[in-house]
Amino acid sequence: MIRTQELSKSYATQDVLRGVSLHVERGEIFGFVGPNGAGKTTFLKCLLGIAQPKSGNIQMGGIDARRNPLAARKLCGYAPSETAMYDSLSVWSMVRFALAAHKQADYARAKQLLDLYQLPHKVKVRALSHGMKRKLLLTQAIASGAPILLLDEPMEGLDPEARRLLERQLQKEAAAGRTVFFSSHDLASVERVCERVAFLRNGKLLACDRVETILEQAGHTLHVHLREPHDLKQLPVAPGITWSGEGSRWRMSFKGNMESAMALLQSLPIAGLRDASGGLEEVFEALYGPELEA
Amino acid sequence: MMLALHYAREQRFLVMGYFGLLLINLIAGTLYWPEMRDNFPEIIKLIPIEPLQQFVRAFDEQGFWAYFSVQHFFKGAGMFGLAAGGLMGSGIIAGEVDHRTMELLLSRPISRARILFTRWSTGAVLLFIPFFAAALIGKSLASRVDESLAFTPLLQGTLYTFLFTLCCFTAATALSSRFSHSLKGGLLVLGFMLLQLAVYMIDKLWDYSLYNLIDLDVTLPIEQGIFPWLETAWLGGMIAWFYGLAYLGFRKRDF
Repeated sequence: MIRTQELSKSYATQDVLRGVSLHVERGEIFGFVGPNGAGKTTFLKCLLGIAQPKSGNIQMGGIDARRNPLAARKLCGYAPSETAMYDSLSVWSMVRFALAAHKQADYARAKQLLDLYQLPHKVKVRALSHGMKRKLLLTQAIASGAPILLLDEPMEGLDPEARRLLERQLQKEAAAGRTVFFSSHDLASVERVCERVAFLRNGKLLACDRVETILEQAGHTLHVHLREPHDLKQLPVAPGITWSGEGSRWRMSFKGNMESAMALLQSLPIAGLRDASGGLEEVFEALYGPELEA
Repeated sequence: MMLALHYAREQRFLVMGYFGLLLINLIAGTLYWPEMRDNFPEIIKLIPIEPLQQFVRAFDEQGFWAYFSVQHFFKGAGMFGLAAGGLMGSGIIAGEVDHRTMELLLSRPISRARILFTRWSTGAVLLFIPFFAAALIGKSLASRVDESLAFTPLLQGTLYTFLFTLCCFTAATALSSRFSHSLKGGLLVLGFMLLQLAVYMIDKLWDYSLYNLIDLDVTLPIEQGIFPWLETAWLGGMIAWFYGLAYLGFRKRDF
């Protein structure tokens, strides 16, 4: 549904995107992760024709988005990270304005979403909080009825409850066949919702794979509390598993899936078990550590 | 349609202000006309600048049409229209950038050409309606001071001098497509046109001012049925050129 090949973009002398190639399938939820300034927003702007790429190809639903950005935009509902809107409009007027150009827009759906997010229809946009503005942007993107949802930092500014609500919403949209592409700093959400994830750094794609695959490659850590003290020699051994700790408290690090690890632990008198795997946070730190430290 | 309505809504206070200024200028000017009509020699002596003296001599010789032309066509289009057009045009693109709403606007399935044309044409209509309405009110005011204005030359004069305002508006639009501050383009246009007005006020230099396009040499003959086609073509060409610049600036710009 979305395919980019060697997409590059520069502002003056600064390369913001450097040969980004990825594809997103129909009905997929795709996470786009990277630190501030990595090029995530620029990438989304290039998809929509808001910024002009220096080189590379963009296909949106089979349409060459560089040659025909208007046709490509017809396929997209977009929620920008910037929450600035027309402050003098009411919430409902803003939704109507945003949806007016989308032929497949679903106004009844927009009303439902506003109610779901508890956004009052008649209040002026200027009176909304940052989080409420975010919800309004998400509402107009989802209600656009477009087959592709491009969401830039959709979780930013949302409270945990609203995040969960949005996560469920995105899963429903994907189940209905819509493609969801979202950039986020909220790695926990990306891990919960996305099927695949791409990591961007300084405009270059560092990794792009299924979330489970990336997590498996990153490895797991389990904190194991035993009923009685054990020596290292008494603990089960398997390729790729390392133990650290002493007595009755051990830390088991391994790569691969969780099921095989659990099978190994069955021989031990376990008093308690805690998954201490960092998930995507850990992957993020591993990928961006040197940059973040710098 | 939604785009046009939204833009019109944004500009409503500016348009109302513009209309108010045009009306105040016309009402005050027209009500002062009888006093002026009876005291031309004394008034001319009080005016230190030759171009303005020529205006008043023209009032004496040509009557109310000349006076109305200066009040509405020269001042209305060339000063109030310039200010309204400059301010309105400068926000067409840059205003969205300044308010950080351009990304939202451009993400919708509307071409940039359509966005620009819708906003520009809406702006043009918003500038024309008060200008024309004020002219019609001026016509009805004329009878209160025992004068009259024929409708056809009034319409022709209004259409022609509106092109001057439209040209300023389009120049500001062209600058707006390259700037990110909503007032920058308008202030540049206003500054340039004030310079032109200053040049117009200087004897021997006034032939070089753009205000020659809407002064009495051009608007007086309209009453006799002589329409300034050459000047119209020139202004039309400038509007088309500025519009082209605006489109080129907006078409490929990154936001």
